Amino acid sequence: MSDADLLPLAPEARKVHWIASFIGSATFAGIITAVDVFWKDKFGWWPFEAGRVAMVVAPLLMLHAAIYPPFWFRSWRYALRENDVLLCYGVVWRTRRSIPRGRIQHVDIESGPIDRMVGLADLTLYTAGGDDEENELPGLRLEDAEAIREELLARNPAEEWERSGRGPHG
Amino acid sequence: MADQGLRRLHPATVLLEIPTTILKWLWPIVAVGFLFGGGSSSSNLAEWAMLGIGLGAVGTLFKYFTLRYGIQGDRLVLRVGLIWSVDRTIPLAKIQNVDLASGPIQRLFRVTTITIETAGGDETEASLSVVSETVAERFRNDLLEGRGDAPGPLTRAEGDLIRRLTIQELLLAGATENRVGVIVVALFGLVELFGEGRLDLMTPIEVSLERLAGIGAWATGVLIAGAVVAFIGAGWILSIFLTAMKYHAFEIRRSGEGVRRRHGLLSKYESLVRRDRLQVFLVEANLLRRLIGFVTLKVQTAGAGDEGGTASNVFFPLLPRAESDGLVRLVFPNADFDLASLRPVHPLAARRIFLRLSLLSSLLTGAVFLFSEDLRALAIAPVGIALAWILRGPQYRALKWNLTDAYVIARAGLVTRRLWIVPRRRIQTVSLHQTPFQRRLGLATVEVQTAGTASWSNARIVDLGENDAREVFDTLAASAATLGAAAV
Repeated sequence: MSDADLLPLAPEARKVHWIASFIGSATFAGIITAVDVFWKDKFGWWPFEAGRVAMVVAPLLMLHAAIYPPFWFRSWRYALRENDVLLCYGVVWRTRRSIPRGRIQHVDIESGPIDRMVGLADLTLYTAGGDDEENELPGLRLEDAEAIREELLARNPAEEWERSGRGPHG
Repeated sequence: MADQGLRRLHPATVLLEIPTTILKWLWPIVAVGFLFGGGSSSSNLAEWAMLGIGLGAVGTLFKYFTLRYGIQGDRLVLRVGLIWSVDRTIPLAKIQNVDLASGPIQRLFRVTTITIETAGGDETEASLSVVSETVAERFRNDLLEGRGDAPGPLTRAEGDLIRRLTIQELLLAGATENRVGVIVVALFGLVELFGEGRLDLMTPIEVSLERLAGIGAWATGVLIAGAVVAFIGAGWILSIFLTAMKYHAFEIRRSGEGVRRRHGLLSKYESLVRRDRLQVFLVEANLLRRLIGFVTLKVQTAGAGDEGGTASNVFFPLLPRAESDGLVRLVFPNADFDLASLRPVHPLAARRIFLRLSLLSSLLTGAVFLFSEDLRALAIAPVGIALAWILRGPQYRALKWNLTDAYVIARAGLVTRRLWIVPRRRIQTVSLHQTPFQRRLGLATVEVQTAGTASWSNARIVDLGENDAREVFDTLAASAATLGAAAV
């Protein structure tokens, strides 16, 4: 399969991610500013004057929130293939991940408040062992996420082995 | 459901578990009493302690009288509690590990603790404490046989001895264990504790010593250095002692379906590494061990947590490198790989190592300069870059890999060298990673993940050429599902 056949996320995901990262960055910048201005004296070893670090870091965070989401959106591609689910993502550190269909134990669909406003959802695929947050496919339309879940669970070789009593990694 | 055919714990539970339960309850209750019970009044605290002891005793009695366990059909059933009752059912087919462990007092009573683990999560799914040794052995066999996929009956007979840890190896394992790092960190903590980077504890000693012997500050420095060395030395000896207790009489024996490990001086551990549950095998050596030509063998089976105090990772604590190949062959009888002839990664990996180490030392220089505002800090960068230039060759040569029909092999590490052996049919997911440097140089890293959950479980083939990496990734991705289906 060539990379041209991979699917992008739902277009709304760009906006949702932009809002979410703006909120996240603003909160983080707020905390840093507060610490830098009010509690700086607690650290005797800190060599900078009050507010200096916040003056540099807070704008950088906001800049990141403004610039990053479109790149994030463009970096994401996925595909449901014959034997596996393929996830490709990462702006700076790129990852291409294959999750064999037979290894999927269960599937979660999650949506936060902003997601729900525009009808988006995140799909998480769980395998035995390991870091499940890495098997997350964010920013799908809810109906697409549900369709993918149904397809993955309907034809899941793992269940067939389990019925034969041998277990998914037996 | 009826309690038919279910067993109780051994009566010694009441005697043996009460102290443990009390200890478990006592500290939080005394702490609560200290916080809310009006402070430090000692009679007050004693009352709270009595409450803790009482609750602990009642809890243990409750557990003993209400806990029932046993096998019903193809399931392990565990029931406990009267008011808040738990009724746990584990299909025997899901059970990954059944371990027996007994402390010194338990051994006096000839009883043991059974722990049962399944693939999901890091927690122990069932822990039966305490059960008589004979019942425990029989119950374990029933559990493993009941799974139905055991090749042939499990016999109680001792398997052939494969290897026993010698006394020299035991002591060497303790001496080369990386606990010195922990001790140094503890020392730093001690220094921090006694004021800003100064050992105030030492000041009175310093003063009295100076008066006594009329020695100068320089000699005091030597004395303090001596104390530090003595402290580290004592920690080192303690480390040897602890390791010796843990790995005392470590032996592995052939068993019908895998390898049986047994070790421990005061607390005895016994567990079975089932060949058909094995996820990843690791040959590891830190710098000290590499210098003397020894390695440690580690193993992950599905469901076993990272450490859990049972050393469940360690397949064999220490043995000469030359012998490790033989044990690898024993664990993987149909191995189609040769550890002596692994493939090198892409030559540009050396450049990436140099770039990365140089960048790191430059960042460090910047940070130190910013905080210290001392021009001498700028000298760190050239030294770091020179080191990076020297180390790039050895670190590149440490990177090796191989892909055969049935296995993925990866090796990495200049200081602690690790060699991963992953059966391909155990692979859960496959990933291809690229950092910015790797993209510029046309390199990529392939990572395979199994159901193993230890921090070192994921094998990474670092810095393959982009095309090779893509080929390995596609091969593994295409085969993982079909190989898995044919597994067992």
